[in-house]
Amino acid sequence: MDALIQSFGLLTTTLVVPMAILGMVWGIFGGALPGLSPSITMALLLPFTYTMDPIPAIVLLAATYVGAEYGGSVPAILIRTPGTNAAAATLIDGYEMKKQGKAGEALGISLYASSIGNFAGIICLILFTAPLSQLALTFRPTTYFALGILGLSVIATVSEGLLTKGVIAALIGLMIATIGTDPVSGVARFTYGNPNLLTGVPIILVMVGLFAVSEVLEQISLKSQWEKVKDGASRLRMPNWAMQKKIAVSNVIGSGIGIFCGIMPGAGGTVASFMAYNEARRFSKTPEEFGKGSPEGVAAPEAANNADAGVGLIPLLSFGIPASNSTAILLGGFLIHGLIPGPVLFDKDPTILYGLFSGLVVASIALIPAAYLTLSVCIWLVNRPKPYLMAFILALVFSGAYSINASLFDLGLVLAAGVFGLGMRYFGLPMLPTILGLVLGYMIEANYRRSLVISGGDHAIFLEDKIAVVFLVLSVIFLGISLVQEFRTRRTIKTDGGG
Amino acid sequence: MTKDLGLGVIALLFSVFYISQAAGIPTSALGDAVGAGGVPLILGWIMAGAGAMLILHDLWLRRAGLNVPAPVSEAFQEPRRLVMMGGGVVLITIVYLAVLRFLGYIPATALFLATLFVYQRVPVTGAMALVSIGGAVVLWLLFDAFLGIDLPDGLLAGVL
Repeated sequence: MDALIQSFGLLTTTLVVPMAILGMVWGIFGGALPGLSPSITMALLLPFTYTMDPIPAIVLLAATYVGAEYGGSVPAILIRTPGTNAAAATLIDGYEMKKQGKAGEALGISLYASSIGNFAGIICLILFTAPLSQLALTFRPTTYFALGILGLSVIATVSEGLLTKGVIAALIGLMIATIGTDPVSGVARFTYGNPNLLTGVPIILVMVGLFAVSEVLEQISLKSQWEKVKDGASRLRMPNWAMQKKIAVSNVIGSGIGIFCGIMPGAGGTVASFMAYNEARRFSKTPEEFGKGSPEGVAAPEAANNADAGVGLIPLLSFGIPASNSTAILLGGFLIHGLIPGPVLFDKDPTILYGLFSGLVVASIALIPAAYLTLSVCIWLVNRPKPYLMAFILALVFSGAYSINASLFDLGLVLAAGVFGLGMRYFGLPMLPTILGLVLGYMIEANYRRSLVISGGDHAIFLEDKIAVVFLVLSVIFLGISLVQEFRTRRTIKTDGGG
Repeated sequence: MTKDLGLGVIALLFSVFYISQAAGIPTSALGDAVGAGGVPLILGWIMAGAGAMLILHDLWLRRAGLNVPAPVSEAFQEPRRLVMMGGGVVLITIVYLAVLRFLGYIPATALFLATLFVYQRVPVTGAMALVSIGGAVVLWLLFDAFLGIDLPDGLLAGVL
């Protein structure tokens, strides 16, 4: 009850409401622009949050995340180009509906399903974050070390491509995290006499470079242009009662799968939306309509990726471990204000989290009117020439990065991270393990060494902590399963090849 | 050479460099049993192992005749275009960063935007120039006037 009163108080006394609406609108715009993922949309906002109070800043970023998940469906339906990866499943039936002259209806179904998924995700977030963070309060340095290893191994194994590539990507992040002053003895490492590096490489700048700059560099290198919306502004039409009944099962399936995938680190909205699409088709009374403009095919993936967005915040808020690119950026928002999400934050300063929860509820309520009001602006934005958008994004990124420390060194770092990110994309290295390695590097090393200081250098201390043992065993299982799957895939290829 | 083989070689070479650097990290009297260089050394060795695994994996696939090129993004299908366009944008950005303080935020950003437009083959017109200057002014208003960030005045010192 106390929490409820505090949350309501925050709504009336802080900038939570305007920031939730602003973030929602910005997220819809960002999501609607092909090439701008939710994480990039959030990364572009990070520098602005420096001058803000923590609660409105966190709410702004989180609402952007929620808005972008819906926004991604707009170009997917209108121009067959998903604004976000998760909207790729929405495209299948959404664009078919558009071809049948039902673009407004498809957009309405997407919005309705997104709202349902959103609320389902936020309810789970509010219900499960506190109990899980209470559990995490019992963690010792050994547990935190093991938790960091578990987080990294899960992300490395579920990332696209080979396990080895996931591991290399995670190592890159861990190596970057070792730059700067050593957390135990204070010795400078890999700074090469540069005082700018003594405090380490700022995570925010690396994130902005890896996600936003590398994406712009890739987009600029593409020959193809985005398709234009030729038939003017489509009028958004919310589903009527009959349609709501028709898509009810898909919404439930989508929300359920979104919640499940949100809890699994690394699975993410894309996996959730495709799983939801397949399951909705399986349980549909008219599975033959899927792929030919089925409203259920639009509803299920949208409910899933929006539910996933809310639930995906649980690992971050309970344990301090981001489970996706977007939550890694949100973590950056916390770090900017000197806040470390996790059990201690919930215990010492729960106001921040109550503010976040109430902001997310406001953002979810604002989703429908915001989508109505911004649709024509989204269409206008999608129709802008790509060269203009890319140049502005680059200028915005560097202006934002400069505003953090007024340092040209920082701008060089962002550019270097962008070029490095482009190289990672070229070699098919996933970004999330790198970001997670960067974020968790300090936690893993500091707690590993603290544990050994406590035990006098005896590694058996890790076996005395039961939770740590469970986490480490799970890490080995995840890596083992991934290796077995890779081996099986190779055998299948060999069998097929041998034919 | 396939991408995976190339990545494996790079990872292996980098790990050699990284291990040599980590081995040179001084120990402190305040240090613990692991020392400041301990974790970097572990990371370096794991990176070496991962690089070697990637090379062996690629060679195994090649020997088995299973080396199918992985699907790549459209941007990487034309490496020459990627180098020309991506590399060009990087060079333009480096020049922008170099002249930012001297020229000042608004002129430097307007030039940066205009150069990026031209580089992406946007026709040079009055409208394009207007968008470049207008864009720089909007960004300046947003960061300097609205958020209170002290952006470099450069040539416009005393005017702004």
